[in-house]
Amino acid sequence: MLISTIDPITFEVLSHRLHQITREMGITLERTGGTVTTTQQHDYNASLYRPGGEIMAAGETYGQHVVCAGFAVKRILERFDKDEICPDDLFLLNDPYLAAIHNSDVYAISPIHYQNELVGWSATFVHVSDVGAMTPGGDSPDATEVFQEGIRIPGIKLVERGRLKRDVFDTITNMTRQPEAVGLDLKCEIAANNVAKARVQAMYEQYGPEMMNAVSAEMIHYTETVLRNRIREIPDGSWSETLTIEADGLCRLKLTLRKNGDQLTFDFSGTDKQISKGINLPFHGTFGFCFGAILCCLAYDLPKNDGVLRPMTVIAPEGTLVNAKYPAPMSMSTTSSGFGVGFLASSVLMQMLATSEKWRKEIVAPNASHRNCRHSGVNQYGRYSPFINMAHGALDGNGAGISKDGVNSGGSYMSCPNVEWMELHYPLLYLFRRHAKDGAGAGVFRGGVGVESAHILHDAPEGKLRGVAYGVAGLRNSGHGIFGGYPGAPSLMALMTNTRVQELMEMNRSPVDMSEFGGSSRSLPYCNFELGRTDVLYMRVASGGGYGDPLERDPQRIQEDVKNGLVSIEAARGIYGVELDKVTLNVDLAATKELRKAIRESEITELK
Amino acid sequence: MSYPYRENLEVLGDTSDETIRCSRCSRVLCRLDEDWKKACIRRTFPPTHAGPLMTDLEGYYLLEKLYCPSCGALLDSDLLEESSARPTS
Repeated sequence: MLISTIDPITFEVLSHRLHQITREMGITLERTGGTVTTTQQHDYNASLYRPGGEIMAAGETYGQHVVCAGFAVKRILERFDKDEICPDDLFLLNDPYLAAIHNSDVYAISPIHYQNELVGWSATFVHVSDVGAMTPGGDSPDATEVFQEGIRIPGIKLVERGRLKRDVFDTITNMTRQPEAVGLDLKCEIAANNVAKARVQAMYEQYGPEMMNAVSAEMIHYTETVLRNRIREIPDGSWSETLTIEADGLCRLKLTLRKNGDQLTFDFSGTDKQISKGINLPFHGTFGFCFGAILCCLAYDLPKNDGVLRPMTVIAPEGTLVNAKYPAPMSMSTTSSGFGVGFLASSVLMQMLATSEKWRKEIVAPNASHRNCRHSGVNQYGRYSPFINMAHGALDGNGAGISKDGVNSGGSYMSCPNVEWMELHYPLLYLFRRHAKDGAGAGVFRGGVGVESAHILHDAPEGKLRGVAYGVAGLRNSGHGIFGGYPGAPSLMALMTNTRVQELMEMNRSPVDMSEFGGSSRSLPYCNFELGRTDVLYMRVASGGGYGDPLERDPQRIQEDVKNGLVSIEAARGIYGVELDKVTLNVDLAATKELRKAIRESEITELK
Repeated sequence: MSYPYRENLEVLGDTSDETIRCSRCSRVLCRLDEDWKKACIRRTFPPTHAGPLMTDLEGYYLLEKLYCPSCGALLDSDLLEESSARPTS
């Protein structure tokens, strides 16, 4: 398999050591970051690149950002002459029209030199807490063009030859609403890139440039070769999927995957035109989300590098939601069209895998993502801050697989801070955070159950917090069922106003039953809103889709689900056809068999 | 020669004459280059057929289920916009 003369053991050791460097970069970000978004939610990326920007080793975070940071390296190479790229420099870039996906994700890119020769790059991004956009926190539902979405940096030196450029640092941080936190996050990126540089240079010192260059080239060749072989094993064909996002009407994303030999073509023809709302995605973002989907289903065990990109082609017509033209707004793109593209790419890949006896075991019902919320305002210590609410993306139910249930609150990407931490730092009180009973998509194997939570203001000096609702708005924003499995419950964000919650608490009653809350409720589209003293914000994130026919699920598994509070006894009977004793919850197998037969026969008989 | 097409469906035949059939009862649904869904029995349900938390979809979507026309095996479930489907229950 190896094209060079490197012995396989040395290749494995150095390959894993490079990967380990990206993990150490991530740990550095977590330990030195300025906000919960970085330190606990892990909304970051850390990767290494070859001198020309090809992905050398990717960290264990987002696939899309691994690709886009590579584009960022290439933009820096285009923008700066070779003699302007010096040892110990560090560049910033967050322009979504060049390489980033939205302004809030600030890439820090550092050249790595050995004996004054450029031998590679390290790159990180963190989602900073503010970029000076029209809406605090960055995600701006009312923006109609990118100029309203905050600072846009096309590539600028923040560190030159190892010295922080204070004028640049102050200029950038002072354009945000939270200069200290943003400054800390920029410095954690500097720290992570410094770690990468030191570790890579140590490897060059130990093994020499010739060996290191050969290993990085070999890693990419290895990944590409194995991935192409895997693709070749699957029958040729084409598969399609659509997703609708609700923003200024219905916005439709469409994807057709064509597989021919060892090549995959993702064709987004038929996707709707871009709109004047920040759900538009740049082409490199679309490309990156497709990379992430392949990484998860066909290349999860391979070195993560440029080799994954080589068998894939992406067709995304210009001027559409998946390849927007300047100056369309993009501030909400990652969590809307971005996750939409990720869902579509996963969905068509799963359909493709189903045609292969060898690969169908990897099938998982794909999830179309969820809604998100960000708050801003003065906290209980008198400090102003924009902050994300609980990282609900970490709490989605995962889709079911061909031989197992989806993971309950398994999450789609990031980690989640605990309730106590949120309440300690922000003026909020959580009434509950729990699994949404009957949320899972039914199937032989059911989807994972997503989480629902509700919170109110608590010790908020201004008596209010601003909120912004974003994510994938739409009624199908949940796990989709696969091969007969049912969809999971959709993600939902609702503002309940003029509630009785404070009154219930004064009566020493724990307000966990929403039917007692009173007041009025409205679901939130892409919008800004205000959380007041008598309001409750209810959020339910997507549950995973099921796999296969629910009437064929093992009754004992249903019994466990009911005991664990994940499925109601009514749903056990009505959806799964399982008869349980209402007191003991024992399964009546004979009655279950009869009930299931009756359910299916009633459908079939009626059909005939 | 056969290979799986998706759960409960498989492709049968040589490359010049491949058909899609139900892997449970062997009923041939169509040629490989045709839409197998057109050969299925279809039925639509209110979205709450999939669970009580699907109430927000009522009036907008219907749950469509596709069955093998011979043995009744469930082959697919999907949410359709209500304008493109007609409820049958």
